[in-house]
Amino acid sequence: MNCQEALNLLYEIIDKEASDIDAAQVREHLGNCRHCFEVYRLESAVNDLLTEKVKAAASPRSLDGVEAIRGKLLAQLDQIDTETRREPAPTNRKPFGNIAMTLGIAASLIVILGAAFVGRDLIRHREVFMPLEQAHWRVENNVEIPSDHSLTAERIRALADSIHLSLAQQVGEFTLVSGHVEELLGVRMGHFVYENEKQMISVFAAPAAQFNIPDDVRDNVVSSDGVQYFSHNCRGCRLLFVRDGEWVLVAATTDKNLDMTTFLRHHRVA
Amino acid sequence: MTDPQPKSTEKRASFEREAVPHMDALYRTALRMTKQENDAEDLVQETMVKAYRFWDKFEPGSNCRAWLFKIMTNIFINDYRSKSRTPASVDVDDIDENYLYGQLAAQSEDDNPEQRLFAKIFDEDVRKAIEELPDDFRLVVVLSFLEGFAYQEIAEILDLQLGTVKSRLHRGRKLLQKRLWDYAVRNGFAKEQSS
Ligand SMILES: [Zn+2]
Repeated sequence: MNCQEALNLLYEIIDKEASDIDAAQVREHLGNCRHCFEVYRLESAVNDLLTEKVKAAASPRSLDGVEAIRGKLLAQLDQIDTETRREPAPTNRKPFGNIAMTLGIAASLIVILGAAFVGRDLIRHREVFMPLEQAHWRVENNVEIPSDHSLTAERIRALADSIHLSLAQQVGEFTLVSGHVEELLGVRMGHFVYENEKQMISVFAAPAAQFNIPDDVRDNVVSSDGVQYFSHNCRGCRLLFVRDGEWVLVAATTDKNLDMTTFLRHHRVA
Repeated sequence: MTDPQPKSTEKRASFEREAVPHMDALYRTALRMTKQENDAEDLVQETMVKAYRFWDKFEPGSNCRAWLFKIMTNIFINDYRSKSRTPASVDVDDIDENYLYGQLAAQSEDDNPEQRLFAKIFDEDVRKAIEELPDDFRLVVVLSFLEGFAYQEIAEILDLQLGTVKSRLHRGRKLLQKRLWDYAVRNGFAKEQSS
Protein backbone atom coordinates (compact mmCIF):
# COMPACT_ATOMS: atom_id res chain seq x y z
CA MET A 1 0.00 0.00 0.00
CA ASN A 2 1.36 3.41 -0.96
CA CYS A 3 0.71 6.80 0.68
CA GLN A 4 -2.12 7.76 -1.68
CA GLU A 5 -3.95 4.48 -1.05
CA ALA A 6 -3.47 4.82 2.69
CA LEU A 7 -4.78 8.40 2.70
CA ASN A 8 -7.77 7.51 0.54
CA LEU A 9 -8.94 5.20 3.31
CA LEU A 10 -8.46 7.84 6.00
CA TYR A 11 -12.10 8.54 6.88
CA GLU A 12 -13.27 5.00 6.41
CA ILE A 13 -10.70 3.94 8.99
CA ILE A 14 -11.62 6.78 11.33
CA ASP A 15 -15.33 5.98 10.99
CA LYS A 16 -14.63 2.26 11.50
CA GLU A 17 -16.13 1.51 8.11
CA ALA A 18 -13.05 -0.01 6.46
CA SER A 19 -12.73 -3.75 5.91
CA ASP A 20 -10.41 -5.74 8.16
CA ILE A 21 -8.02 -6.30 5.27
CA ASP A 22 -7.82 -2.58 4.43
CA ALA A 23 -7.43 -1.71 8.10
CA ALA A 24 -4.54 -4.16 8.49
CA GLN A 25 -2.77 -2.80 5.41
CA VAL A 26 -3.20 0.79 6.54
CA ARG A 27 -1.86 -0.10 9.98
CA GLU A 28 1.18 -1.65 8.36
CA HIS A 29 1.74 1.42 6.19
CA LEU A 30 1.42 3.79 9.14
CA GLY A 31 4.10 1.77 10.94
CA ASN A 32 6.50 2.59 8.14
CA CYS A 33 5.46 6.07 7.07
CA ARG A 34 5.92 9.03 9.36
CA HIS A 35 3.96 11.42 7.12
CA CYS A 36 0.81 9.30 6.85
CA PHE A 37 1.02 8.48 10.53
CA GLU A 38 0.96 12.20 11.33
CA VAL A 39 -2.01 12.83 9.03
CA TYR A 40 -3.93 9.99 10.64
CA ARG A 41 -3.07 11.09 14.15
CA LEU A 42 -4.12 14.65 13.47
CA GLU A 43 -7.30 13.75 11.60
CA SER A 44 -8.51 11.34 14.22
CA ALA A 45 -7.79 13.84 16.98
CA VAL A 46 -9.72 16.48 15.03
CA ASN A 47 -12.49 13.97 14.44
CA ASP A 48 -12.79 13.12 18.13
CA LEU A 49 -12.86 16.77 19.09
CA LEU A 50 -15.39 17.62 16.40
CA THR A 51 -17.66 14.76 17.42
CA GLU A 52 -17.49 15.87 21.02
CA LYS A 53 -18.16 19.51 20.10
CA VAL A 54 -21.01 18.66 17.76
CA LYS A 55 -22.70 16.65 20.50
CA ALA A 56 -22.11 19.31 23.12
CA ALA A 57 -23.45 22.01 20.80
CA ALA A 58 -26.62 20.01 20.31
CA SER A 59 -27.50 19.13 23.86
CA PRO A 60 -28.61 22.27 25.73
CA ARG A 61 -32.30 23.18 25.58
CA SER A 62 -33.09 20.09 23.55
CA LEU A 63 -34.83 18.37 26.38
CA ASP A 64 -37.21 21.26 27.14
CA GLY A 65 -38.24 21.36 23.52
CA VAL A 66 -38.84 17.63 23.41
CA GLU A 67 -40.92 17.70 26.59
CA ALA A 68 -43.15 20.36 25.07
CA ILE A 69 -43.78 18.43 21.87
CA ARG A 70 -44.11 15.05 23.55
CA GLY A 71 -47.25 16.32 25.27
CA LYS A 72 -48.62 17.77 22.05
CA LEU A 73 -47.82 14.57 20.18
CA LEU A 74 -49.58 12.28 22.64
CA ALA A 75 -52.67 14.49 22.45
CA GLN A 76 -52.60 14.28 18.67
CA LEU A 77 -52.21 10.50 18.79
CA ASP A 78 -55.29 10.35 21.03
CA GLN A 79 -57.17 12.26 18.37
CA ILE A 80 -55.98 9.91 15.60
CA ASP A 81 -56.98 6.90 17.70
CA THR A 82 -60.43 8.39 18.22
CA GLU A 83 -60.86 9.26 14.52
CA THR A 84 -59.92 5.77 13.47
CA ARG A 85 -62.44 4.22 15.83
CA ARG A 86 -65.28 6.67 15.24
CA GLU A 87 -68.04 6.14 12.69
CA PRO A 88 -67.60 8.31 9.61
CA ALA A 89 -68.60 11.92 10.02
CA PRO A 90 -71.74 13.26 8.30
CA THR A 91 -71.16 13.77 4.61
CA ASN A 92 -72.42 17.33 4.18
CA ARG A 93 -69.19 18.64 5.61
CA LYS A 94 -65.74 18.15 4.16
CA PRO A 95 -63.97 16.44 7.06
CA PHE A 96 -61.53 14.59 4.84
CA GLY A 97 -60.33 17.43 2.68
CA ASN A 98 -56.79 16.23 3.07
CA ILE A 99 -57.66 12.81 1.79
CA ALA A 100 -59.09 14.40 -1.33
CA MET A 101 -55.81 16.08 -1.94
CA THR A 102 -53.86 12.97 -1.09
CA LEU A 103 -55.98 10.90 -3.44
CA GLY A 104 -55.61 13.32 -6.30
CA ILE A 105 -51.89 13.56 -5.83
CA ALA A 106 -51.56 9.83 -5.33
CA ALA A 107 -53.51 9.04 -8.47
CA SER A 108 -51.52 11.47 -10.54
CA LEU A 109 -48.31 10.29 -9.00
CA ILE A 110 -48.80 6.73 -10.02
CA VAL A 111 -49.67 7.81 -13.54
CA ILE A 112 -46.57 9.93 -13.71
CA LEU A 113 -44.53 7.02 -12.43
CA GLY A 114 -46.17 4.73 -14.94
CA ALA A 115 -45.67 7.14 -17.81
CA ALA A 116 -42.03 7.47 -16.89
CA PHE A 117 -41.58 3.75 -17.13
CA VAL A 118 -43.79 2.92 -20.08
CA GLY A 119 -41.33 4.39 -22.54
CA ARG A 120 -38.41 2.40 -21.21
CA ASP A 121 -39.85 -0.89 -20.26
CA LEU A 122 -43.49 -1.76 -20.23
CA ILE A 123 -43.03 -4.26 -17.43
CA ARG A 124 -41.36 -1.93 -15.01
CA HIS A 125 -44.34 0.17 -14.06
CA ARG A 126 -46.14 -2.79 -12.56
CA GLU A 127 -43.55 -2.84 -9.85
CA VAL A 128 -43.56 0.66 -8.49
CA PHE A 129 -45.72 0.30 -5.44
CA MET A 130 -44.31 1.71 -2.25
CA PRO A 131 -45.44 4.23 0.33
CA LEU A 132 -46.49 7.28 -1.62
CA GLU A 133 -44.28 9.86 -0.06
CA GLN A 134 -41.29 7.65 -0.66
CA ALA A 135 -42.24 7.08 -4.28
CA HIS A 136 -42.77 10.78 -4.75
CA TRP A 137 -39.42 11.58 -3.26
CA ARG A 138 -37.68 9.01 -5.42
CA VAL A 139 -39.24 10.32 -8.61
CA GLU A 140 -38.37 13.92 -7.78
CA ASN A 141 -34.82 12.94 -7.03
CA ASN A 142 -34.34 10.58 -9.94
CA VAL A 143 -33.72 7.67 -7.64
CA GLU A 144 -34.23 4.24 -9.12
CA ILE A 145 -37.50 2.60 -8.11
CA PRO A 146 -36.80 -0.87 -6.73
CA SER A 147 -38.75 -3.71 -8.24
CA ASP A 148 -41.21 -5.96 -6.52
CA HIS A 149 -41.63 -9.12 -8.54
CA SER A 150 -44.05 -10.65 -6.12
CA LEU A 151 -47.09 -8.90 -7.61
CA THR A 152 -49.23 -11.37 -9.44
CA ALA A 153 -52.76 -11.39 -10.72
CA GLU A 154 -53.91 -13.53 -7.78
CA ARG A 155 -52.36 -11.18 -5.30
CA ILE A 156 -54.08 -8.22 -6.91
CA ARG A 157 -57.41 -10.02 -6.65
CA ALA A 158 -56.72 -10.88 -3.04
CA LEU A 159 -55.97 -7.24 -2.32
CA ALA A 160 -59.20 -6.11 -3.93
CA ASP A 161 -61.10 -8.79 -2.02
CA SER A 162 -59.52 -7.69 1.24
CA ILE A 163 -61.33 -4.38 0.99
CA HIS A 164 -64.45 -5.98 -0.55
CA LEU A 165 -64.04 -4.26 -3.87
CA SER A 166 -64.89 -6.29 -6.92
CA LEU A 167 -63.00 -5.27 -10.01
CA ALA A 168 -63.12 -6.36 -13.61
CA GLN A 169 -59.94 -8.08 -14.71
CA GLN A 170 -60.49 -6.76 -18.20
CA VAL A 171 -62.15 -3.47 -19.24
CA GLY A 172 -62.24 -3.17 -23.02
CA GLU A 173 -58.62 -3.28 -24.08
CA PHE A 174 -57.40 -2.58 -20.57
CA THR A 175 -56.07 -5.29 -18.26
CA LEU A 176 -55.71 -5.06 -14.50
CA VAL A 177 -51.97 -5.34 -13.96
CA SER A 178 -51.25 -4.08 -10.49
CA GLY A 179 -52.83 -3.41 -7.14
CA HIS A 180 -52.06 -2.06 -3.76
CA VAL A 181 -54.02 -1.31 -0.61
CA GLU A 182 -52.84 1.27 1.84
CA GLU A 183 -54.05 3.28 4.74
CA LEU A 184 -53.87 6.98 4.09
CA LEU A 185 -54.86 9.36 6.86
CA GLY A 186 -56.68 6.60 8.63
CA VAL A 187 -58.71 5.37 5.66
CA ARG A 188 -58.02 2.08 3.94
CA MET A 189 -58.13 2.55 0.21
CA GLY A 190 -57.30 0.58 -2.86
CA HIS A 191 -55.17 1.58 -5.77
CA PHE A 192 -55.16 -0.38 -9.02
CA VAL A 193 -53.51 0.02 -12.38
CA TYR A 194 -54.92 -0.98 -15.75
CA GLU A 195 -53.01 -0.87 -18.98
CA ASN A 196 -53.29 -1.66 -22.64
CA GLU A 197 -50.35 -1.70 -25.01
CA LYS A 198 -49.80 2.04 -25.00
CA GLN A 199 -51.80 3.63 -22.21
CA MET A 200 -52.38 3.23 -18.53
CA ILE A 201 -55.09 4.23 -16.13
CA SER A 202 -54.68 4.41 -12.40
CA VAL A 203 -57.76 3.90 -10.24
CA PHE A 204 -58.10 4.83 -6.60
CA ALA A 205 -61.00 3.55 -4.56
CA ALA A 206 -61.96 5.10 -1.23
CA PRO A 207 -65.00 4.28 0.94
CA ALA A 208 -67.73 6.80 0.13
CA ALA A 209 -68.73 6.84 3.79
CA GLN A 210 -65.39 8.43 4.60
CA PHE A 211 -64.63 10.36 1.48
CA ASN A 212 -66.56 13.03 -0.41
CA ILE A 213 -65.77 14.25 -3.86
CA PRO A 214 -64.54 17.68 -2.82
CA ASP A 215 -65.83 20.88 -4.43
CA ASP A 216 -62.43 21.97 -5.60
CA VAL A 217 -61.98 19.03 -7.97
CA ARG A 218 -65.33 19.58 -9.70
CA ASP A 219 -63.93 21.52 -12.65
CA ASN A 220 -66.34 19.96 -15.14
CA VAL A 221 -69.36 17.71 -14.81
CA VAL A 222 -70.21 15.01 -17.31
CA SER A 223 -73.49 13.12 -16.94
CA SER A 224 -73.75 9.65 -18.36
CA ASP A 225 -76.63 7.26 -17.69
CA GLY A 226 -77.76 9.54 -14.91
CA VAL A 227 -74.41 9.34 -13.11
CA GLN A 228 -72.31 12.45 -12.57
CA TYR A 229 -68.58 12.36 -13.29
CA PHE A 230 -66.37 15.20 -12.14
CA SER A 231 -63.13 15.96 -13.93
CA HIS A 232 -60.08 17.77 -12.64
CA ASN A 233 -56.53 18.37 -13.83
CA CYS A 234 -53.61 17.90 -11.47
CA ARG A 235 -49.88 17.90 -12.23
CA GLY A 236 -50.33 17.08 -15.88
CA CYS A 237 -52.84 14.32 -15.17
CA ARG A 238 -56.53 14.14 -15.92
CA LEU A 239 -58.55 12.89 -12.97
CA LEU A 240 -62.15 11.72 -13.09
CA PHE A 241 -64.16 11.30 -9.88
CA VAL A 242 -67.35 9.34 -9.52
CA ARG A 243 -69.48 8.05 -6.68
CA ASP A 244 -70.18 4.39 -7.35
CA GLY A 245 -72.28 2.71 -4.65
CA GLU A 246 -70.29 2.64 -1.44
CA TRP A 247 -67.11 3.68 -3.24
CA VAL A 248 -65.70 6.90 -4.55
CA LEU A 249 -63.51 6.09 -7.52
CA VAL A 250 -60.82 8.29 -9.00
CA ALA A 251 -59.37 7.42 -12.38
CA ALA A 252 -56.21 9.15 -13.55
CA THR A 253 -54.27 9.19 -16.78
CA THR A 254 -51.79 11.38 -18.61
CA ASP A 255 -53.36 10.53 -21.95
CA LYS A 256 -55.32 13.46 -23.36
CA ASN A 257 -57.69 11.42 -25.52
CA LEU A 258 -58.62 8.50 -23.32
CA ASP A 259 -62.34 8.14 -22.60
CA MET A 260 -62.27 7.58 -18.87
CA THR A 261 -66.02 7.95 -18.45
CA THR A 262 -66.57 4.79 -20.46
CA PHE A 263 -63.76 3.11 -18.60
CA LEU A 264 -65.15 3.92 -15.17
CA ARG A 265 -68.62 2.80 -16.22
CA HIS A 266 -67.35 -0.69 -16.93
CA HIS A 267 -64.54 -1.28 -14.57
CA ARG A 268 -66.53 -2.61 -11.63
CA VAL A 269 -68.13 -5.99 -11.43
CA ALA A 270 -71.61 -5.49 -10.04
CA MET B 1 -65.64 1.78 31.72
CA THR B 2 -65.06 5.30 33.02
CA ASP B 3 -62.65 6.49 30.35
CA PRO B 4 -64.73 7.43 27.27
CA GLN B 5 -61.69 7.20 24.98
CA PRO B 6 -59.61 4.18 25.88
CA LYS B 7 -56.28 4.64 24.17
CA SER B 8 -54.16 1.70 25.11
CA THR B 9 -54.50 -0.10 21.82
CA GLU B 10 -51.75 -2.45 20.84
CA LYS B 11 -50.67 -0.18 18.01
CA ARG B 12 -50.49 2.77 20.31
CA ALA B 13 -48.57 0.86 22.96
CA SER B 14 -45.94 -0.47 20.59
CA PHE B 15 -45.54 2.97 19.04
CA GLU B 16 -45.00 4.58 22.42
CA ARG B 17 -42.58 1.85 23.37
CA GLU B 18 -40.47 1.78 20.20
CA ALA B 19 -40.81 5.11 18.40
CA VAL B 20 -41.44 7.78 21.02
CA PRO B 21 -38.10 7.26 22.84
CA HIS B 22 -36.30 8.40 19.66
CA MET B 23 -37.84 11.87 19.84
CA ASP B 24 -34.86 13.33 21.68
CA ALA B 25 -32.53 12.29 18.89
CA LEU B 26 -34.97 13.41 16.20
CA TYR B 27 -35.31 16.83 17.81
CA ARG B 28 -31.56 17.22 18.21
CA THR B 29 -31.07 16.55 14.52
CA ALA B 30 -34.14 18.56 13.49
CA LEU B 31 -32.60 21.60 15.20
CA ARG B 32 -29.47 21.18 13.11
CA MET B 33 -31.52 20.74 9.95
CA THR B 34 -34.01 23.59 10.30
CA LYS B 35 -31.85 25.91 12.45
CA GLN B 36 -35.04 27.14 14.18
CA GLU B 37 -36.58 25.78 17.35
CA ASN B 38 -40.13 26.30 16.11
CA ASP B 39 -39.47 24.60 12.80
CA ALA B 40 -37.64 21.77 14.56
CA GLU B 41 -40.61 21.19 16.86
CA ASP B 42 -43.02 21.18 13.93
CA LEU B 43 -40.77 18.87 11.96
CA VAL B 44 -40.53 16.33 14.78
CA GLN B 45 -44.25 16.54 15.42
CA GLU B 46 -45.05 15.94 11.75
CA THR B 47 -42.56 13.10 11.62
CA MET B 48 -44.05 11.33 14.60
CA VAL B 49 -47.64 11.76 13.42
CA LYS B 50 -46.73 10.42 9.99
CA ALA B 51 -44.82 7.56 11.57
CA TYR B 52 -47.87 6.70 13.66
CA ARG B 53 -50.16 6.72 10.64
CA PHE B 54 -47.75 4.45 8.80
CA TRP B 55 -46.85 2.37 11.86
CA ASP B 56 -48.25 -0.80 10.28
CA LYS B 57 -45.66 -0.37 7.52
CA PHE B 58 -42.82 -0.58 10.00
CA GLU B 59 -41.35 -4.06 10.22
CA PRO B 60 -41.02 -5.03 13.88
CA GLY B 61 -37.44 -5.78 14.78
CA SER B 62 -35.95 -3.64 12.02
CA ASN B 63 -34.14 -0.39 12.68
CA CYS B 64 -36.79 1.94 14.08
CA ARG B 65 -34.43 4.85 14.62
CA ALA B 66 -33.26 4.79 10.98
CA TRP B 67 -36.88 4.44 9.82
CA LEU B 68 -37.91 7.53 11.79
CA PHE B 69 -34.94 9.52 10.53
CA LYS B 70 -35.84 8.56 6.99
CA ILE B 71 -39.35 9.90 7.43
CA MET B 72 -37.99 13.06 8.99
CA THR B 73 -35.36 13.77 6.33
CA ASN B 74 -37.94 13.21 3.59
CA ILE B 75 -40.29 15.73 5.16
CA PHE B 76 -37.42 18.13 5.67
CA ILE B 77 -36.20 17.83 2.10
CA ASN B 78 -39.68 18.16 0.61
CA ASP B 79 -41.24 20.79 2.84
CA TYR B 80 -38.66 22.64 4.87
CA ARG B 81 -35.60 22.91 2.75
CA SER B 82 -36.93 25.70 0.54
CA LYS B 83 -37.93 27.68 3.62
CA SER B 84 -34.54 27.55 5.27
CA ARG B 85 -32.01 29.99 4.00
CA THR B 86 -29.05 28.27 2.44
CA PRO B 87 -25.88 30.26 2.04
CA ALA B 88 -24.83 31.13 -1.48
CA SER B 89 -23.25 28.17 -3.17
CA VAL B 90 -19.94 27.12 -1.77
CA ASP B 91 -17.22 25.82 -3.96
CA VAL B 92 -16.40 22.72 -2.03
CA ASP B 93 -13.88 21.45 -4.53
CA ASP B 94 -11.85 24.54 -3.88
CA ILE B 95 -10.60 23.28 -0.54
CA ASP B 96 -7.16 21.83 -0.43
CA GLU B 97 -7.38 18.23 0.71
CA ASN B 98 -4.67 18.63 3.34
CA TYR B 99 -5.49 22.18 4.29
CA LEU B 100 -5.88 21.73 8.01
CA TYR B 101 -2.94 19.38 8.23
CA GLY B 102 -0.74 21.87 6.40
CA GLN B 103 -1.84 24.74 8.60
CA LEU B 104 -1.55 22.90 11.88
CA ALA B 105 1.74 21.25 11.02
CA ALA B 106 3.19 24.69 10.34
CA GLN B 107 1.95 26.21 13.61
CA SER B 108 4.57 25.34 16.18
CA GLU B 109 6.67 22.66 17.73
CA ASP B 110 3.68 21.55 19.82
CA ASP B 111 3.05 17.87 19.88
CA ASN B 112 -0.68 18.42 19.66
CA PRO B 113 -1.40 21.77 17.99
CA GLU B 114 -5.02 20.73 17.38
CA GLN B 115 -5.65 20.46 21.12
CA ARG B 116 -4.61 24.04 21.63
CA LEU B 117 -6.74 25.19 18.75
CA PHE B 118 -9.89 23.34 19.70
CA ALA B 119 -9.67 24.31 23.34
CA LYS B 120 -10.46 27.86 22.23
CA ILE B 121 -13.32 27.06 19.90
CA PHE B 122 -16.69 27.16 21.58
CA ASP B 123 -19.57 24.77 21.07
CA GLU B 124 -21.47 27.74 19.70
CA ASP B 125 -18.88 28.21 16.94
CA VAL B 126 -19.23 24.58 15.97
CA ARG B 127 -23.00 24.96 15.87
CA LYS B 128 -22.66 27.94 13.54
CA ALA B 129 -20.14 26.17 11.36
CA ILE B 130 -22.53 23.24 10.94
CA GLU B 131 -25.48 25.48 10.20
CA GLU B 132 -23.50 27.23 7.50
CA LEU B 133 -22.86 23.99 5.66
CA PRO B 134 -24.95 23.58 2.49
CA ASP B 135 -27.98 21.33 3.16
CA ASP B 136 -26.66 18.29 1.29
CA PHE B 137 -23.50 18.21 3.36
CA ARG B 138 -25.16 19.22 6.60
CA LEU B 139 -27.59 16.32 6.52
CA VAL B 140 -24.84 13.77 6.06
CA VAL B 141 -22.54 15.38 8.64
CA VAL B 142 -25.29 15.58 11.26
CA LEU B 143 -26.42 12.00 10.74
CA SER B 144 -22.83 10.80 11.02
CA PHE B 145 -21.33 13.01 13.71
CA LEU B 146 -24.34 13.68 15.85
CA GLU B 147 -26.30 10.46 15.47
CA GLY B 148 -23.49 8.04 14.71
CA PHE B 149 -25.29 6.38 11.79
CA ALA B 150 -23.16 4.07 9.64
CA TYR B 151 -22.54 4.98 5.97
CA GLN B 152 -25.01 2.34 4.83
CA GLU B 153 -27.73 3.57 7.17
CA ILE B 154 -27.22 7.14 5.97
CA ALA B 155 -27.45 5.94 2.38
CA GLU B 156 -30.79 4.31 3.16
CA ILE B 157 -32.14 7.24 5.14
CA LEU B 158 -31.31 9.74 2.42
CA ASP B 159 -31.80 7.42 -0.55
CA LEU B 160 -28.27 8.03 -1.74
CA GLN B 161 -25.60 5.78 -3.18
CA LEU B 162 -22.97 4.69 -0.69
CA GLY B 163 -20.29 6.52 -2.69
CA THR B 164 -22.28 9.76 -2.55
CA VAL B 165 -22.56 9.47 1.22
CA LYS B 166 -18.81 8.98 1.53
CA SER B 167 -17.92 11.90 -0.70
CA ARG B 168 -20.44 14.26 0.95
CA LEU B 169 -19.22 13.31 4.37
CA HIS B 170 -15.63 13.75 3.29
CA ARG B 171 -16.24 17.17 1.80
CA GLY B 172 -18.53 18.17 4.66
CA ARG B 173 -15.69 17.44 7.06
CA LYS B 174 -13.25 19.46 5.02
CA LEU B 175 -15.66 22.39 4.91
CA LEU B 176 -16.19 22.17 8.64
CA GLN B 177 -12.47 22.07 9.31
CA LYS B 178 -11.91 25.03 7.03
CA ARG B 179 -14.67 27.08 8.69
CA LEU B 180 -13.35 26.40 12.17
CA TRP B 181 -9.81 27.16 11.11
CA ASP B 182 -10.87 30.47 9.52
CA TYR B 183 -12.68 31.25 12.73
CA ALA B 184 -9.55 30.55 14.76
CA VAL B 185 -7.48 32.77 12.50
CA ARG B 186 -10.02 35.59 12.65
CA ASN B 187 -9.99 35.45 16.42
CA GLY B 188 -6.25 35.29 16.66
CA PHE B 189 -5.96 31.72 18.00
CA ALA B 190 -4.01 30.70 14.95
CA LYS B 191 -1.95 32.31 12.24
CA GLU B 192 -2.60 31.78 8.56
CA GLN B 193 0.41 30.28 6.83
CA SER B 194 1.00 31.50 3.36
CA SER B 195 1.91 28.51 1.29
ZN1 LIG C 1 2.55 7.16 3.64
